[in-house]
Amino acid sequence: MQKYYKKWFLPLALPSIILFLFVILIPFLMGVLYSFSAWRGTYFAGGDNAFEAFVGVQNYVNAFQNDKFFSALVYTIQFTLIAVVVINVVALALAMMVTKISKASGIFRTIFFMPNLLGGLALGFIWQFIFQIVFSQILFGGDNPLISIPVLTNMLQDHYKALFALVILVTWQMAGYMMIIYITGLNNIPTDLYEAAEMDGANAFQRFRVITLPMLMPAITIVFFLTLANCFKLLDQNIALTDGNFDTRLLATQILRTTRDTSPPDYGMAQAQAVIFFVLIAIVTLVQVSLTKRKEVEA
Amino acid sequence: MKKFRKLLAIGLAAVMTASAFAGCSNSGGSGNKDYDFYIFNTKGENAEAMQAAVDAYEAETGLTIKLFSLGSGTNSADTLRAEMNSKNKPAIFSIMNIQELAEWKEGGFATDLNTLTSNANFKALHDALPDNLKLTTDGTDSYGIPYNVEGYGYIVDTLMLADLFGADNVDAFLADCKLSTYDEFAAMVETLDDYIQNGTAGTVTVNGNDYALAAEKTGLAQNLTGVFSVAGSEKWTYGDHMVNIAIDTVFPNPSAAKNATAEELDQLKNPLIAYAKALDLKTSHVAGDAGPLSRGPEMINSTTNGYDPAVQKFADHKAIFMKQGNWVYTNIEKVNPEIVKTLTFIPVKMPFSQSDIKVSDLTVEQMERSIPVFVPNYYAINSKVSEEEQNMAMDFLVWLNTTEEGQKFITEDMAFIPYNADPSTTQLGNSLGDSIIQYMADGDTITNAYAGAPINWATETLGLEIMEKYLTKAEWTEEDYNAIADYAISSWKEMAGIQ
Repeated sequence: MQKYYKKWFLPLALPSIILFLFVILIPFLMGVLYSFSAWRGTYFAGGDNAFEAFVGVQNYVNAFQNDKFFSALVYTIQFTLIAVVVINVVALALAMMVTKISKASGIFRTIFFMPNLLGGLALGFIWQFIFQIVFSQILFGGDNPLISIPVLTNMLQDHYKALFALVILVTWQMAGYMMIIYITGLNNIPTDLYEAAEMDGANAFQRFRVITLPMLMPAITIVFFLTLANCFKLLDQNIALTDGNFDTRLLATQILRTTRDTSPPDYGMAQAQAVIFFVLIAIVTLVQVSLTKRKEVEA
Repeated sequence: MKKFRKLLAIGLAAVMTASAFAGCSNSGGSGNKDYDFYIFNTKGENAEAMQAAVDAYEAETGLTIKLFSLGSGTNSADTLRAEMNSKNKPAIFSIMNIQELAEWKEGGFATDLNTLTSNANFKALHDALPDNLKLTTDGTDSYGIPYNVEGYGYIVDTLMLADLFGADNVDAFLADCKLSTYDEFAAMVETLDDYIQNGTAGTVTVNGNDYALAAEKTGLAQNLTGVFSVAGSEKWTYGDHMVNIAIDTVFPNPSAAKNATAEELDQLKNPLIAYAKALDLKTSHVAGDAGPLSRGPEMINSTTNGYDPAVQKFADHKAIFMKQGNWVYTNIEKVNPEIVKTLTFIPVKMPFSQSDIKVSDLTVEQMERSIPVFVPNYYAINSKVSEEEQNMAMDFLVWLNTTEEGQKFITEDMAFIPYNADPSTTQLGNSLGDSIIQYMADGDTITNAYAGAPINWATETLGLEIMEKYLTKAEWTEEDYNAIADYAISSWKEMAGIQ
């Protein structure tokens, strides 16, 4: 087998490497270069190429002085913090439930996983309907609500309520996928550990804290990484749900909209925002992975 | 066998790699073009008609034309930019307005049509273009040939008017309604609202003439839930064309608005207060599904009161007026083919006084009886294609706009109002189009000056502010009117970089 991999590694990996090079790496490097220039999408303002239209860090300065970028940054951080916690708690709870029950666990797994198969835009519009009609006019509000809970009505028409609306949406979408990862993690924990602990008189909470959590650390590392990165990069759902109204732009939406906010379109500044965005995600996820990896233990 | 497998793998890898490159070269352009010239059409609505026109022109001239039309409602800017970055650039592309022009002018794509003198026919076409329809930054340069003209105002359900005032009075009522003052219009809205909500039959006075409402609600009048159908969740409903009426009092055209000074913007204060009052009147009498829709969360709920539901309510005879343009024709037709035959426009009225109006020769009476008629899109000639392609592109535009065959495609297939239509002889057979032509024939048109406002000011700034802060508020006060006007002016100044 080892020999097989040695011999076939290059021919098999080459197409992907070349694709990665041309579709991701080179455009990325060009993007970094363009973020230092007055790039307008089809031409450079004040020159024929990126070097003649070099503006130094001006685009980065403009980005940080842009109120919309700053508020999107704050909003994204708030959203990500809440969403990561909620998704993880829900996913872990679902995973533990599904592994505990003996009957029909396959059906539950499938049902919990299904939302993940829907695209972000479709999901956004489905939930827009749920928030605007089901929540606001049938269940919690309207002329004759089932239970009157004003906080849960018109959630898309308020800066903070919309944040929680988005958290509800992404939890519904991502928790099922994360649940699958947690299930695998839970199944890998040897049952004799629990048996030994039980004999020593440890209660359910203690067993969870000293056995389940430490043994689950590899899964937690992956789930935290995925949710953190995906929440930071969230775009479609944000656009479909509120389209940035009520000051609810997330960073990805902000970058996309920058070229429409400016005339001529300031692709240079949009690109600078994208580079800041990349650096931010890279730092946050690397720190997270190294922190959680340190907590991983061997059985 | 082993050797064969290895060869196969390498072969497959090579094919995949090659296809990756092929993907690049399709969009990147290999330089070998298989057409004579290339037209980039931004209006998805007329894609089929444009294709038919191009086919006819190809048959006539033997040329091969590449036509690219975007899907309806798609944002064209990104696609056009991608095409402009490729080697095979369009010879004819579209520019919407003076704000969009900034990009293509600075990038050296848009050609000043004054400099294209080699093609005599095209020069004649351009010379004949009236100044007020030109895409110009300073009044002398000119960057496009209009696609068509469009207009907007309050669309009136005339079938409903017959049930409200009697079939015999409809024409007289419409003629008077067109000329009525804002105060008469506002009083009429209140009377109609009282009639709709409480069944109180009253009399409305427009242009000094009285029209009595039918004593009992009969026929279509029983469907009414409000006076106006308003797409409350759409930000442009409040900005864009609504606010344009106020902007027209100070700026005669988009380029004047684009070059606005701080003093001129300050002069907008009173007109903008008038705009806020007119908006208050409109959004206080909105038709809902089963009853009146008051300002609040439901008003800006995009599922129940977005664009489509608003069109639906109007087509279902739940409202009498809807502020829209003639482009909404096909959407109304889809819902109710009957109503669409008899639609007409009346102007959007605002309580201006003569001292508010700074545009010379413009009077309050003129504004009250006029609707904005403007060019929504221009054909531009790309400076970055060969002279040969430019010349063929110019010939095509001349053919489309001056020959009988070309005009037929514009009026019949695209259902456009030709910018060079003679109002006295043109009949479109489209109620809203013909209504606009009537306004043109009467000389009762104003401009679309807001197109020169900073990009995203009308919709994403003013429209958004009004939707978020005021459409959720039941009562508007004098302070609110003032605050709206001040916000509109200060945000414009900030976005245009004027101190």
